[in-house]
Amino acid sequence: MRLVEAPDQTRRSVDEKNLHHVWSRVEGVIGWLCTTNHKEISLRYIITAFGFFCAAGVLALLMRLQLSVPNNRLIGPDLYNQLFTVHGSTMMFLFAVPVMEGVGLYLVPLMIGTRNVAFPRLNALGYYVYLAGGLVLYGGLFCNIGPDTGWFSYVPLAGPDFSPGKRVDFWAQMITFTEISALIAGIEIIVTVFKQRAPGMSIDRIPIYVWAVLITAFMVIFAMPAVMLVSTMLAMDRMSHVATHFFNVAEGGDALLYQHLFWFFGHPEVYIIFIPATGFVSTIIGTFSRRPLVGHSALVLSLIATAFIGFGLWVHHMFATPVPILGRSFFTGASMLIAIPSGVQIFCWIATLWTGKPVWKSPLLFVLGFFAIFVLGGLTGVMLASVPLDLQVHDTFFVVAHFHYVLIGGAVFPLFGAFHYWFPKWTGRMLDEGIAKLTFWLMFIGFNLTFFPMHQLGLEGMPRRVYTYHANLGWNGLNMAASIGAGVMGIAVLCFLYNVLKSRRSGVIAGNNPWQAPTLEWATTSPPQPYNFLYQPTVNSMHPLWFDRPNQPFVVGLKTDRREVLTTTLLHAVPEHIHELPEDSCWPILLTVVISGTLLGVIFNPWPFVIGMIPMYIVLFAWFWRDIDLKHLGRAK
Amino acid sequence: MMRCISPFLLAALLVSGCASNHSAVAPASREAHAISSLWWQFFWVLGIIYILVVATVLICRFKSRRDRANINLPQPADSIPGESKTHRVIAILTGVSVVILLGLLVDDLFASRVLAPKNDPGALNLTVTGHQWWWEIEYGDQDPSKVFQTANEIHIPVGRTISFTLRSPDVIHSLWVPSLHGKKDLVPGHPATLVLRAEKPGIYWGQCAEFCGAQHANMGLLIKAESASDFAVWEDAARKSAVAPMTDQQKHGQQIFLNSTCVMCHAVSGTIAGSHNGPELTHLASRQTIAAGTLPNTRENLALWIQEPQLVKPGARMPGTGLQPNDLADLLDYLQTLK
Repeated sequence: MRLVEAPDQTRRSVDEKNLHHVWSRVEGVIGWLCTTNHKEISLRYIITAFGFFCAAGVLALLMRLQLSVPNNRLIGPDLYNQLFTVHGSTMMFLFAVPVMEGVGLYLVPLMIGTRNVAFPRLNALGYYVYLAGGLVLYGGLFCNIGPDTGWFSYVPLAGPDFSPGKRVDFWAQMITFTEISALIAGIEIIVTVFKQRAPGMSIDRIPIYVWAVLITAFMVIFAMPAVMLVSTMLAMDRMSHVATHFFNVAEGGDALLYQHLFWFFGHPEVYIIFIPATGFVSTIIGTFSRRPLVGHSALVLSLIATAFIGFGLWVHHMFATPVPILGRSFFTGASMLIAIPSGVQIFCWIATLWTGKPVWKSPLLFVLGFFAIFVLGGLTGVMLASVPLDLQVHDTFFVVAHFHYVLIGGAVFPLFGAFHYWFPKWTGRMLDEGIAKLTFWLMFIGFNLTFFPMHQLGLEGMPRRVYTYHANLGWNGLNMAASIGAGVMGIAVLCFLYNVLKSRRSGVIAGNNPWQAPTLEWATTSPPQPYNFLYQPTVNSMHPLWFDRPNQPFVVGLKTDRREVLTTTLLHAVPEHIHELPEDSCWPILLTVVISGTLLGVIFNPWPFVIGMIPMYIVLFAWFWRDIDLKHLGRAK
Repeated sequence: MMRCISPFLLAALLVSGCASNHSAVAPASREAHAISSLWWQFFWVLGIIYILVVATVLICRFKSRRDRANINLPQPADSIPGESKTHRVIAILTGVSVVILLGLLVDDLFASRVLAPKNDPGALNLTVTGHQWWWEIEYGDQDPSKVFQTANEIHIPVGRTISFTLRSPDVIHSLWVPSLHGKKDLVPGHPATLVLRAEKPGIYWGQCAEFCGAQHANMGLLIKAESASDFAVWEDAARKSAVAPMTDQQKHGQQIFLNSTCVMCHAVSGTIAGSHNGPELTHLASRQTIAAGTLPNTRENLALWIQEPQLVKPGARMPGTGLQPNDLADLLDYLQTLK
């Protein structure tokens, strides 16, 4: 292994042919199911998550239809409660987190200049387990046994006494599925970023988006176990064969314990969704302002500060419960403190736009929408940090407005910006700019029409999670406005889908780097080859495509007859050794089948847990047995 | 553009909402006043910040209106002139943000002091128990014979401290009457206290604010704040047992009540009906609503509620009775005497 400036043409075409043979997958359905290419898996993550986004959007439209007029009898309480539970659970567990992970798993290896993620088979397992979890939840909903106790499933309401049947068990098990998947993605990203960066990409040259994804991955690893723990405790309380009493007040259990554990996950969750989105915002602003970001270090440190403080303010979701006053004041202080790193980021972004020469393409337009919406959501967040104000608006439509401003403004607008920004890299074609602008305006207007009136509804006393309301309370007009706005947002999403389908076939060919962007993912073809880079690049700055010498050396000498990647040191990214990645494999999907069967069975009876262990060990044995893989089953001909 | 004016739009809407009896910004108690004035302070400070941020972004937008592919290769940050000045501006703005947040924090702590429970020996002690999906209210007294219960409608005297003890035997509920106070959760196993002092007479609407199951939406209550003398009159009446039925129809109605499943859950003092699984009915006819704020208390609604409760409030614990029309009429005659 050595570094050279540019291999000659004959050598290039030989290497290209060999790499293509080694890295591309076996044709056909089996090859499709067994692939471990991070780009294919990530696109599946993104498409699946977007599918769940649309499904949960349809549920939201049904809710808005029900609430558009008072005393509506269209949807009864039983169905309505399932709708908002599945809507919330989907958006949090099946859309927001997986889509951010999907985009991250696609871009991180490209941005740091490597060929695949560190554990390709584990990555495939993560996707399939996530898909299974989503299908479990929607299977329940379609059989009218969808969960109906809210995405938070507070006890005692979600306990065995007040929610008999299997509805809540489906919810609790969906959590287990999705959190296994989230933890896998977190580990995947940390190891890949730590060990596989291109030579020269020392820790101070890591692109800001990679930082955002890395910090999120750490948050996932610390936050997700809390929710897996609490949902499993809930499932054990509910299971008649086990019947623990963690939350059974009559047996010395505690209802508030549940809330503490849930929100210890639940608040960081918001930042797990938001921090990758700040990575999109930083990347898009940097590229289109035509300058390096103002205050790169301040931005990275703000993200790290947000990640730390994000774990210290969960009690602000519980201000109305009987928690001690002094404790509440502490959490007020912490909740206000987190506004400071967010403020620093906003200042840095605006300064970049102000001092740069911005080019107003559609991705940047979505970032403008992000400013207008997210900042308002952040400021109402400061209001919610105050105990007295929170006591009034907590659990009302004001909070519904607040967190949709934060999550749609802070994550979905940047995500749509990111879709428009990276679509050329993913497909090789540009999205239509005119339809993109139409999508933006419909979404922006629809969003504000839907959620702005909800602030007022909350102040006027309309609680959340009500399936109907009286006509004489003065809430009719604002609810109708919100319902119309929701329809407009639905049209915006259809516009986007149309643009994707149309541009995928007939969009303008993008070329390697249509935006003249600085990071390594733009150094390769669009879409990238299965091996990402013909020769792994090296870097000499944070913006290699802007500032590196044209004759920046490449890594050569990795074997082209097997899947080799270069590992480098943690701090300085000095080449360390060569690591061989596994072939495509059928074990991830088989293990998913076993895990899914086990987890589904456990909803009804504890025995599948024991029985499921047997096939699980068999599959794991095969997984770790070096020579049982596709290379030996199919490819080696 | 639209986003800039909307805070003012909000302000205009809020002013128009001030006549409401269920609004956080139409306060009628010491506590709700403290919160409402805190709200307006936060509103103006944060509203101005919002306008400044969005205006700056819009200036960036119109300062440079390029959207054609006039893309140049950028300069490294350390060679951009004025970069250190930009850093200084960001540092100053961050400092200003810290100061503003500290100011808001102090403001918040002063408002919290007003809300902190104080020991007032003259306080009226009420216990509110949340049930799926109605409110049970007990007026406490030193003298056990003076303790009495009611449901879904609370009378309180203006100008006197009221101390609510909040309990729940089933799931978590939350008591929220926006014009009188913020909400407080009723968590099983964690009794809580809510203290308020109404300042303006009136009838205030509230409802459960923590999702509590199928009929969370129809778990309302009214708080009637009245002068001390009016309250004393009401309190005396509320302590009395139910009046005995007078006419034959009423007497027959009472027999239907006492011989049917009604008595499994409901109590009427002065009769053998003494169960507290459902709302106390001793003074049912004096209340404004039935089924926890779901329907106005009229004869037709009462008939509908008794015959078809699952139509009115699907999932409610009350079963339909299937009474014959003349029996129902007599029962209604009786219930309407329970003033």
